[in-house]
Amino acid sequence: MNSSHRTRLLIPAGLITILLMIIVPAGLVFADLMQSSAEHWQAAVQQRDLPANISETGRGLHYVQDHISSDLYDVFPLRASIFQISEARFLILNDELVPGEEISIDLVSLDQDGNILRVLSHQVITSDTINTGIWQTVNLSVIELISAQNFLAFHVYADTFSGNHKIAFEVLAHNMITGFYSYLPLIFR
Amino acid sequence: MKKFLKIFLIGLIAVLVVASLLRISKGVQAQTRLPTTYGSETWTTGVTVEIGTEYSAISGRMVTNAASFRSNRDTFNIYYIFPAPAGNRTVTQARFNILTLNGTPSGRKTMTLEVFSLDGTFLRTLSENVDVLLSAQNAWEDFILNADSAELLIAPGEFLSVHFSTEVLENFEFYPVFEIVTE
Repeated sequence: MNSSHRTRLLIPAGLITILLMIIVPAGLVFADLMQSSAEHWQAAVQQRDLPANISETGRGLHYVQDHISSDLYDVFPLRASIFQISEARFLILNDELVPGEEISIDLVSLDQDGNILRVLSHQVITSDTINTGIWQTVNLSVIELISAQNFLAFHVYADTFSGNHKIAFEVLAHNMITGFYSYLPLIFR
Repeated sequence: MKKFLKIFLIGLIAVLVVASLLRISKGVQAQTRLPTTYGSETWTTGVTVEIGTEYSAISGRMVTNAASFRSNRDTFNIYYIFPAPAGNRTVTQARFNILTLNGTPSGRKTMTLEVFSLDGTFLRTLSENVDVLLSAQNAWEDFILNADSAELLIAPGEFLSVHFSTEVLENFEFYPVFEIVTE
């Protein structure tokens, strides 16, 4: 084997080794974090008329939100860390849908100007599929990160909307910064 | 010898990589399989409700850290409702601290931890009654929880509340805060 041939072999081998040294430990830590206990986000502020801006100021936190308008956002308070959203659920407490009506419940991430950055999940509830009094799980991807600059919110909307649906929410969020921090060797602290 | 070392190192790395990938995959699968990855959690905030015990009664009412219990509100029962969990929670410790108390009442005033279903049906009592007038102010005191841990479970479709009961409607008010430790 000549030296150029050896170099051609060594470069990809080195790159693969470095990648494995990053990806494997990061994957291990991520998997461990997902099995650790999470924070429960249940209290949200409610806002409409997006995009304009997101304002928590002067708005009360609620565990159950009224939905008397066709386009409302139930926004979880801003947090100073990166969070992995591992589970999310909603609970509709009353059925006021008339036949033919439907409401959409999206889990979204928003920036501070009120722009929807990403739709994490989308669910349509009709008068046939509404299930009151039972927590309904939202389908999420394995990795759903929310940064310290962005809000997580449930967006509840419909074309035609009558009545007042009372909805509760619960999100399980893992604090990735404190989680990763606990894995650092003491010398870095 | 050199060749043997190379094979040994490559083999070692391959085993480590496979083992790591298996562990990651197992971890991710476990995470998606578990209904809820609850850990220990302390509840400190709730919603005061004077009319109705159904969970939808808290709709539109603000979350507060202190309950507002008053005896002159035309009702003998007021509830401070904690958020309904989507997974099983067991209450392991419950404490209260009366921050403010005003009035010299004639009737008995009690607080009790109770569990209701979402439609407001009373299900069970979790603690002994606390006589508010015999409790210290500005000090943390424990609720005496039921001995049977099965009774301390709050399942999905249920919620926990502190039930304030007054014998007499009169000018009396107090504002307690709570720490409910759940597993």
